[in-house]
Amino acid sequence: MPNATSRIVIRDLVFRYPGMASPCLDITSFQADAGDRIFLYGPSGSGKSTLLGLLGGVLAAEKGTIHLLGQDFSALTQSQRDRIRADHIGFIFQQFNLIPYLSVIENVLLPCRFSPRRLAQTLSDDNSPTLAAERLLGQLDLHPALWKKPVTQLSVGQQQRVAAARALIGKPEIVIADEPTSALDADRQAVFLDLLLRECNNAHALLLFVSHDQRLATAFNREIDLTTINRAVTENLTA
Amino acid sequence: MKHLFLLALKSAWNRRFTLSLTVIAIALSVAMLLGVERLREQAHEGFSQSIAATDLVVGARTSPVQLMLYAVFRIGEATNNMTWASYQYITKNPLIAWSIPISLGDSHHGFPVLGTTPDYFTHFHYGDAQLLTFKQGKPFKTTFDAVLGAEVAKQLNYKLGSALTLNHGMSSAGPQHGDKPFAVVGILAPTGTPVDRTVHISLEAITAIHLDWVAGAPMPGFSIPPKYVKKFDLAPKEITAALIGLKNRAAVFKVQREVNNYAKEPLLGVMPGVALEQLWQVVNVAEKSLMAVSAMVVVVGLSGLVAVVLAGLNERRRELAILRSVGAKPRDVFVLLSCEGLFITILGIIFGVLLLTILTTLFAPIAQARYGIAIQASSLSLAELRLLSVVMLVGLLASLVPGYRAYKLSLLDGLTPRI
Repeated sequence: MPNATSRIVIRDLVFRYPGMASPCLDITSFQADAGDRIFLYGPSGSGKSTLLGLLGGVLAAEKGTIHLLGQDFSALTQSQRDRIRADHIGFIFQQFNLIPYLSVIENVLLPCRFSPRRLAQTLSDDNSPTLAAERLLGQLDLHPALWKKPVTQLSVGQQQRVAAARALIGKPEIVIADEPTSALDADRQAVFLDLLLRECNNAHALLLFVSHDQRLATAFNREIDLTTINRAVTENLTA
Repeated sequence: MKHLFLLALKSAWNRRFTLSLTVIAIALSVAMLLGVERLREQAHEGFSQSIAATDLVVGARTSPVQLMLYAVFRIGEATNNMTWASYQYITKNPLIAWSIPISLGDSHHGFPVLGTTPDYFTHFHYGDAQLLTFKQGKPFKTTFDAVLGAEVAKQLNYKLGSALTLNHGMSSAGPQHGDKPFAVVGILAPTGTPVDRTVHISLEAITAIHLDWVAGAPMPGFSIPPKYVKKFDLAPKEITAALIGLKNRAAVFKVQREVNNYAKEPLLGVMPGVALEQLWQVVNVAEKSLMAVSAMVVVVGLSGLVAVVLAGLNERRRELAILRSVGAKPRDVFVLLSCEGLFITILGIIFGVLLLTILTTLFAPIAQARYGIAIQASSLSLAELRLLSVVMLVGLLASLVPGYRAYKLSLLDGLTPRI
């Protein structure tokens, strides 16, 4: 029985892309709770993208179960999983996180367009969604002068902070960051990481931080090596 | 839904330079399609407006369409005339309320000259059974009086009292009736029919200017000055055709039969409506092919739309993945991309209609002057709206193609596009 406070619970998960002989993901057990700051170490080929796709609900497991906030993904339709992703997960990717034709504020507010729940939650701390976006951008040290700029003119570091604000807006319970610092230099990596961790603490969000750069692991309270929990990789390597 | 529309709008605006070419292509094709339709409609309208309340058109035996073309629309030339005696005999019929003899063959600066009687101004109807009205002056009275259609007066800048000479035949390079000038005594109000392009003179005048002519050329060494023409018998020998109005419409078949069975001369009586119908059948083939070509052009324009949106799709896979990550369903992606095509179609249609309006405003005077076709920059007719909604529908269907492709791609890519 999964722990009621667990935000992510994975049991006996097997996933195989259509047309492939062997599964690319095979995880017996994985669990993440609200206070977890998880560093998920995953070199390329370890099934990292697949896991994120499964957690985001865009992929469906072949066997086993994924529970997100107590909801069993395997019992849900694609559309229902899309709704859960919109309502409860904030994503940050490696780079090119922003929609080029939207302003900074519009980019931050995107999740609120697709999730009425997150739109409503912006109003718990702020008077309007726009104010919530501006507050988050301010907390992430993005100067108001930059908010008016086309997003394509922002530096990569600034873009990643806009993406972080977008992931955090409307207080999703889970933030998934997929190599968000790999395009940044070492100094900016540390700054970004500090900001992200701080804001996840403020929002009481579970942070799942995926990276192949193990030097970053020290900032997290849990460290997981995907190659060790994903039996498919081990089998592939030993085979 | 609303935010998806906004998103699609902003996305399209972001790529406006690429997409504007597609909009232009669709606008041009829509303008062409509508233009052909409008020309067709207005030509039909123009032809049907040219004659009204006339029950029979009578002339020497030929095809009904031919007779209509030269007698009513002044297109082409008569191959044969009917004798004045036949005309007088036929119009003696008590069933006939009025008749207008017309004699064609001469011209003035390319405008046809029509010899007739003053009855023309009291009985000729056009449009919705309207009578001709004079803008200035009055009907012709003496032999060398002329009444001008509105367009003739306007183009040649004639006023009451202006003098003009006629050309023999329809070519302005043909031999001149230069020795017998006419004076303008009346100018008709515009009608939007071939009357506007006609110079009206009396039947006597037609005889008078041809007194000293033989076989279509002036008699060498012989000329009768205008002041002496009165000494000759100016009663017409021949006319080109006659327009006939009956006391009772129901008698039309009876009179028509009498005309067609007239023993002394092969004659033809046609009901304008029937002949017009035949004319449409002839023209129909050409109209249909023109419409088909325009429809093809629209299809080409819309194919361009599909190609452009599809081509841009690959570069936008990252964008679609981002939208997916913030909660967009594959269905939303489908709507987003389909909307884009739809916007382009709508914009193309709007610009196409604007373009056509501008073009018709610019070229209406030329079409009126050269071809006598009155093109109005009118609001959209029902048939045009129907055409536009078909274009819209096809555009919508075409837009579903990139929409579906994006849908499949976003399912395939999920959150991490494989570019």
